[in-house]
Amino acid sequence: MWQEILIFSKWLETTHLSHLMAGGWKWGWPTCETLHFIGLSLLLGCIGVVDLRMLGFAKGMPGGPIHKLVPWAIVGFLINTVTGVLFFIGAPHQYVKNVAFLFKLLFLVIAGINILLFYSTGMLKRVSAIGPGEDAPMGAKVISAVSIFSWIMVLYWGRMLPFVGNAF
Amino acid sequence: MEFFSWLENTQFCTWLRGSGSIWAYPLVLTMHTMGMGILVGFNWALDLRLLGVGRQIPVRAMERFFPVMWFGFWLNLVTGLLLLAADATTKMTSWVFGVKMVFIVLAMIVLVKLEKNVFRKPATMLSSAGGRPGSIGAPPQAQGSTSTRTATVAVLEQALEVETGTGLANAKLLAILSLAFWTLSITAGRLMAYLGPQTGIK
Repeated sequence: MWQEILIFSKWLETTHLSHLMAGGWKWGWPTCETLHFIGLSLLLGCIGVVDLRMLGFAKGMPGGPIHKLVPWAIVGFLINTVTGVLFFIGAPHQYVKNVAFLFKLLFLVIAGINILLFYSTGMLKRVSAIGPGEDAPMGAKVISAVSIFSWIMVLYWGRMLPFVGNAF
Repeated sequence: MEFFSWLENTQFCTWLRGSGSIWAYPLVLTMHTMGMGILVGFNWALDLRLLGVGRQIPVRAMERFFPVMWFGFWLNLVTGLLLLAADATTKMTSWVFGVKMVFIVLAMIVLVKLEKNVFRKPATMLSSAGGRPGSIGAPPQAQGSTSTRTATVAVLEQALEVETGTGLANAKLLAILSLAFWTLSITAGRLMAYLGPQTGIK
């Protein structure tokens, strides 16, 4: 498995796209970084409104309409997935051996499973019925707490990439 | 300039910049990113609401997010000053840093205007922001608790509305400006590592 990852990384580095990201196009990396930070803010803010409401903050907001913000969180997530993959393509070697990157992926997976749990357990339907001032069910609170924690961890380990490991 | 040179060479700033400890520069930088996510993220969510996303969310209920955004702001002011001190001579001569500061000031002016003119005052104006009559203004449990007070507030709000002339168009304009100014602040902030004078500090 490890060998395959290294071979794949080596191959990635030979691609034209990798070359562009790694400096072939001077503004490739800075542009993606900027977009990554914009996507981060969009994701954190829109998901944060929903999570904080579930935990009992700003209870004047009903449980249903706040989920209209979720597609915008997904936009942020997609921006960051695309730019994140481009970083990886640009310099795979600095990620595959980086423990911070592994932790970032781990918490991304946790955040993903958490979201799947939210939608697969019918929680969306239950929280959509919550009116202003009403408490969210315990399950939704747990999911929201895990969500906030895991996104903070994704951010933390992402920021640690250059310091713990060897990324730029 | 002498001051900035002294500042970045103080024992503390030297440690902050060069110690290699995870608890020095990396931690401050991470907190700065976190503060950005909190301040800009929640502000964007509020902007989206004003622009019509989730029309049934009562705008006034979202006022609670202002203290959260102010927390992000103060966190970033403190961590930002630390990051600035660690790289003072370079940052203070960087035009990109200047651009970033200008857009942050503009974005914060918009934030204060949003707080004072839009989220604290809705009633009349928010009836035009697309919400259903029943869903705007104060949450139901707050209404009717002290009816005289509610009536007084409503009268005051109407008076303010006439006086300041803030309307739906104004709220949407503020939301668009907010989106734009934060986008430009983040962009300038990121590009500090690529444009203008460099010291190689990330």
